[in-house]
Amino acid sequence: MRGSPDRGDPGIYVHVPFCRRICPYCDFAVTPRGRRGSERTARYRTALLAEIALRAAPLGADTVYFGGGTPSLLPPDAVRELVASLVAAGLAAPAPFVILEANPEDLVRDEGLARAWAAAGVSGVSLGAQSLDRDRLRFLGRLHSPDDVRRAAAMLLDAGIPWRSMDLIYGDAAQSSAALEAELEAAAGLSGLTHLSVYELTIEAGTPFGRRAAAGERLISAETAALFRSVHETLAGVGFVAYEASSFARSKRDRSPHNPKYWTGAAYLGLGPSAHSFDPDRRARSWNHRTIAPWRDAVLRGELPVEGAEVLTARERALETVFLGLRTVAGLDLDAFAAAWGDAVVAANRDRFRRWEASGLVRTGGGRLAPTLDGLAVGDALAREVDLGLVADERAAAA
Amino acid sequence: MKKGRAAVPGSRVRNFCIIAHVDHGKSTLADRLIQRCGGVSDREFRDQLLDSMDLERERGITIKSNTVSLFHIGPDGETYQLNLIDTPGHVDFSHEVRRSLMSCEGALLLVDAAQGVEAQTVANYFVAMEYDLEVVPVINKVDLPAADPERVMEEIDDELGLDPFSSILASAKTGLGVEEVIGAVVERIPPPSGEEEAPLRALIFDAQYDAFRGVVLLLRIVDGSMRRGDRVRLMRGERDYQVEEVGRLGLRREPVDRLGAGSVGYAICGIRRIREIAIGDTVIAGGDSAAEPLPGYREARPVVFSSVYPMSTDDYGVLEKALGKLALNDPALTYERESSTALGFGFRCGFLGLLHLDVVQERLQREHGLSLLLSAPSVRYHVSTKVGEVHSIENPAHYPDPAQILGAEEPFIRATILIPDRSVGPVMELLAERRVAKTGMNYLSSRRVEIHAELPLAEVLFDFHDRLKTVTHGYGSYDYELLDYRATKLVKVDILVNGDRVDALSQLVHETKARPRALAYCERLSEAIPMHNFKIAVQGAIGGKIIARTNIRALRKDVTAKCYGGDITRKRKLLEKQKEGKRRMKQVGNVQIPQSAFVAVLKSSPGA
Ligand SMILES: Nc1nc2c(ncn2[C@@H]2O[C@H](COP(=O)(O)OP(=O)(O)OP(=O)(O)O)[C@@H](O)[C@H]2O)c(=O)[nH]1
Ligand code: SF4
Ligand SMILES: [Mg+2]
Repeated sequence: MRGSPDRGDPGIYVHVPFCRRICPYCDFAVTPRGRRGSERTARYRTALLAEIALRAAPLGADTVYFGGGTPSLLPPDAVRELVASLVAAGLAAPAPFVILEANPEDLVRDEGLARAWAAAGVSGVSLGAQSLDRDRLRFLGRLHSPDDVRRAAAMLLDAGIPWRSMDLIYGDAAQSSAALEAELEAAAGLSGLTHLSVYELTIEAGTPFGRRAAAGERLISAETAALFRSVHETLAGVGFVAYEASSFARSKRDRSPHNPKYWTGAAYLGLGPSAHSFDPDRRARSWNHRTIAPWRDAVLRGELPVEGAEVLTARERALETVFLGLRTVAGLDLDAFAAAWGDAVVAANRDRFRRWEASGLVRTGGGRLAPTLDGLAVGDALAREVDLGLVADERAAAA
Repeated sequence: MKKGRAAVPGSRVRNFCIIAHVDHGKSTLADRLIQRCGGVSDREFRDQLLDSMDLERERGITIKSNTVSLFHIGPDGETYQLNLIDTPGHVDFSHEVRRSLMSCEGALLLVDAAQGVEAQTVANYFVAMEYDLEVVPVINKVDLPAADPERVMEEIDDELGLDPFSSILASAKTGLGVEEVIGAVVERIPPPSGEEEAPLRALIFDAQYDAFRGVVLLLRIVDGSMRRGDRVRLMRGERDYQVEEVGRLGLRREPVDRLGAGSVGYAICGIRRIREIAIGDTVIAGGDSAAEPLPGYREARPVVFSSVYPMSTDDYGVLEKALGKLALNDPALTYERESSTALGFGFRCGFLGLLHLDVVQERLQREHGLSLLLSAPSVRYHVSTKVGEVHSIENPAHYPDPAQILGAEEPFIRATILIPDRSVGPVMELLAERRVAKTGMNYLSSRRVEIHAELPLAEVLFDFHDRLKTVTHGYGSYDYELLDYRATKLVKVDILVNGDRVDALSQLVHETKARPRALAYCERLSEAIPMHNFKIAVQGAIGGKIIARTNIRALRKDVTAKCYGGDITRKRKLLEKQKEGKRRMKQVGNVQIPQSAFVAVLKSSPGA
């Protein structure tokens, strides 16, 4: 499971399942930190070290991404310790690029936190801002204020953290496109941000928003196509260039060193509850127990905390390659695709690709099928249309 | 085989039918007559007993004529055999009425005491006159609060020229007047005049198909008699058959030894396929070469055509079988195989009218569990080409290259419309909208007007009846007969989706209706085609000329907001499922049109 030049080196994802409060739209594997939060975090840390030991192997990942949940609830020394043990176990290469998701309220509560992270080897922070508008923050159930976001961003810059990103959510019913543009411009103008992830609000079943929507409440804007376009155009206008449907960077260098691994088929190892792992050589994906208790019980027993696994058929993997590739501005590498799944598959779709190009959805050339902005907005629809009938669909025996 | 009742001599047989406008109570009166003559036990009785099809019962309409033999002790103490035929009222089935009238000596003409004389009352009465039948007017539903027998008597006098004092006041609901009706049947309707000793001549007035026995001929014996074992010949079929069974039409078939002159009954002769016989044909003795055929019928010919496709292409075979089965009992139904790029294999079917189409569609769906899609109904046009050929065309797919067309003709009808005089203005306006060629009007009474109008059949097919009812506040009724073919300006309207023709939506329409019709289709189609990832133009075109256009905006956003390591499996599974759903859509060019879109466009009336 080594890296390869076209997919990129392996990456590690560490899931931190705690939050101060659960946001009404969130369907991640999270749990309220609770009153005895530090105790729970400590037990979680022990279990995570156990999982690292269990999984020790010469993977040599060049990125370690702490996601959640709210990784900013982890003490900096825990971050340092976990990264060190990942390196020691061979899972991470020495001095990996470490990224941490952080909520603004955690940063503003503790003046020294950003610096402590930097000292612990954190190279990137993704700030869970979601909005810069007070009312929208309230609607989204967030604990911080617009001002907290500004201060947190400034702290990251001050602390010398080289990669500074921020998450934003748009597309709730109340948001006008003018308000969206204003918010995006404000976000882009915040000191020192190098990267933005801008997501459309998605209503998930089983969440409070899911229940409200099911009861007939309109939570999502009817104009998501227009808003999507507006996000991309506004950000391009202020120097943030899209490299994926929801990802924007000031320059090529500022792109996330970690996230593209998912889209290009790199290997990744997920640690912690609910985390997924992928081994491209075996086309094998597996996922950990979703909740903390069974995950921890398994690792403490010395067993892999795996809840499920699949070995993809060639066609399944080809479909993933297509829809993930079409999320990216670079698009689908047709030469690599043909090499992997056969020239005939690409040939069978040539007419389709040509029609897309005529409709202004993609550009072909340089052996790639690169979505335009219009194409990016409907990447999933395009992926549904690609004919993969020629790719074998037999399931290999799980190795 | 059960032994039949002793044969009643011809002089004590009465053949009569009940005719009326739709819903005036024919089937209900038939119920009362059957009950009064002990034709059915209380246990077996149900309302509109003769309406035996589920569909007839559910809709409360009669679709097929039904025959039943009843027995009645007359005032002279003798047993009379009353052969009653209940007929349908709807204009689509008027051929059934004509057939029934031909095998009778008399008719009960029902008139609803509240509605009065309506268009089919007049039309059916005139057919009865044509065959020289004794007509007994019966004013029915006198129990209704709105009943106005005096006015109705006036109308019978003014509009039919019948002696109003010969009419019987009745209520098929309460049973009032039913005795009197039976008395009139016995006394006023003459017995059949056939010669018992003459060579056999019998009229086939209807036929049924029995899965075990094959074709069951419903006959009116005009001359001679018929018994089991006889060899008979169908004149038009020029084939001899052996009679296996003859009998009377009770509520079930009741075999008898022989059917004598003047009687109405059935015969089973080992005929396997309904297409071997023709309704209206004459049955004679086998080997008889001198016989003169009885005056036959104009055969009911389909006038409305529509393509019928199964929703699931796998059901094509089921549909074919089902149509074959329905056609066995319904010679007016025609069908031939055709195929559409968008909808696959189906059949081009011919019907007597829209109600007939509706009835067939419903029977296919209900009795054969089929889910169907029907194209817009069309009439049959005559199209002449420069090479001197004349084509009968009822299918847009067969429309010749317009450059080769010299001219076209379309069927015209003569409509008879009965309305209150204050509705003349609105009805004339309605007719003008419907490309009327000629109108004439005469006052039936001081308040009632009869309008004769010559107009294209295509113009009354759709919502004419509803519109007539609306503009006359419920008091208008109409009847029509086919007249002739007349020159018309016909065009073929195609519907294009991103430039590709959707063959199942092509239509032949009059030039002046092309644009509104095309626009209505475009609009409905654009509403029903789901999001695509590119802009879709839905256009109506005549040849290369675009006459209507709507656009479907490019898609809503269709890409997951977030897609990282833990999301990929779930997302892939969702896409796989959606891909499977897409496979079931119909593809036109690069646009996927779900079946629901065709349903949305085709199910609703054409609107223009
Ligand atoms: N009040 C009242 N209603 C009646 C009478 N006769 C029939 N009806 C009602 O009128 C409606 C039509 O009766 P049908 O006997 O089905 O009429 P029809 O003439 O056979 O109708 P079609 O076969 O469709 O032409 C039914 O709802 C009957 O119950 C009557 O004497 N009085
Ligand atoms: S902070 Fe993030 S992970 Fe936690 S509940 Fe809110 S959205 Fe979910
Ligand atoms: Mg009836």
